Amino acid sequence: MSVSPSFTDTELFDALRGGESTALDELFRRYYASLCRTSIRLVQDSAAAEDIVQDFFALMWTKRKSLPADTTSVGPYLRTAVRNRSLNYLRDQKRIPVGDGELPETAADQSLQPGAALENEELQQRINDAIDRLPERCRLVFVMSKLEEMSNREIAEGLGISVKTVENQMTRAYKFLRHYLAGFLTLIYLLHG
Amino acid sequence: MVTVYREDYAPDVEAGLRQLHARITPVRQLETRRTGVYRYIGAAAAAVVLLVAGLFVFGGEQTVVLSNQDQPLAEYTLPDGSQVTLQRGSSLSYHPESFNQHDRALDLTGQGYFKVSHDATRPFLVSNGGNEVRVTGTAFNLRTDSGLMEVEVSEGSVLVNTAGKSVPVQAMEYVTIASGEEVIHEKAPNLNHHAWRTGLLKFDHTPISEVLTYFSDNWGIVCQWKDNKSCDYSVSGSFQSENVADVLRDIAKLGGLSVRSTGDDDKHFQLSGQCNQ
Repeated sequence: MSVSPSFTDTELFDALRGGESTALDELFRRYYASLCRTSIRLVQDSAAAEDIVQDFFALMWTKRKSLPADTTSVGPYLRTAVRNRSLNYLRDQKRIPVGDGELPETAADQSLQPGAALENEELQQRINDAIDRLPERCRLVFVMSKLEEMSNREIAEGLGISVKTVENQMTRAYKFLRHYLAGFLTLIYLLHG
Repeated sequence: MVTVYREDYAPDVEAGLRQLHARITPVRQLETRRTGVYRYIGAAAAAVVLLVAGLFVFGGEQTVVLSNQDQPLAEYTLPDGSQVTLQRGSSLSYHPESFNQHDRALDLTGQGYFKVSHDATRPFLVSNGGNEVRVTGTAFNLRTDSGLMEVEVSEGSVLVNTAGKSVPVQAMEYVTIASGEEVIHEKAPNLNHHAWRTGLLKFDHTPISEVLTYFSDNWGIVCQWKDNKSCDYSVSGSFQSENVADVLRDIAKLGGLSVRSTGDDDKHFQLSGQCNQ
């Protein structure tokens, strides 16, 4: 048996459980880039992110018989696994922050002009910069909440902090980003929308 | 809008897949490589057959042997994505458990052309038992014979480790190490040691004696002078043919010589004639 591009994720997952190695390759091609992005948002290191994702696929192959059967949500399954492994990596590296950290002094990105039209690439870079400027605990909470769509409880458990701290960190993050990216008039709407 | 955070990060999926294959057990590698690499291409010089020939896994410490016994050229992809072309009668081996972990160590018998995937953290090491070529990402030709190692680099640079010292070899350079002899390190602007693969020989006022060594080095072709009366003339120009013996005849003709095959293996020839140059 071999897989074809028309296979659904669920069919690929079943084929993988049955020992079909080409199913692993196809899943890898479909999900590698997006899973690496999930990981790099947390670990901030491309080599570590790719390592984490490849390691997970290698594990899926060796433990293929114990993968969940009839999973209709392959994407979320993979994403959750990579997210947890990324957090474990941070923990192993002793990079889970123990304090809140200080927000940088810079109140706003001075080069931003209100209403100025930015090219997509530049916009992308500015968003990356803005979020990277957050203190690490604040950044992780923000990424896990807004990008990984984790609940406050999940985040609190993942980082070993209280739900109250998660809420406080989200408030700080919004406040900082709102100031830093003040040039984007629509930001507040988008953040809350 | 903030959801675009890091959306610009685009890892190389195919490179990642190759690295994944290198992590997974060798049994898995054999499965995919058999199905994936079988195909034919038309090359400029000759139809080059791409194949995976002779993969053997021994018990105990596992060794993968890539061996080309019957094709003019055999092309392989190694688990790290590097490409290797083996000459007929040559073989390459590695340990799948450790290959691409901390380094990429291989043993070569015969002649191969290597196009090495760049990875500065895992050096690519080819040994003939005694000497070793060390690279991180480059393309080079390597010929080994008992006690001999000969490297000619076409791209990048390599380090040849021999008897406790390292010799850096740059692109368009050539190094030969033979046991008990001095290391020869010369310019190789024409890359004539790649000719077994490319079919192309280039000479510029090259003495015929040196020209004949390229036939020997590339194809094991041995030429003898009739009655030991050798001619001395120089050869210039580019020569390309699918048939090596034809190239030899053309070059001989330049010196007014005739060529006679002296065996049935197309490896032994006799040169004779008046030296008219």
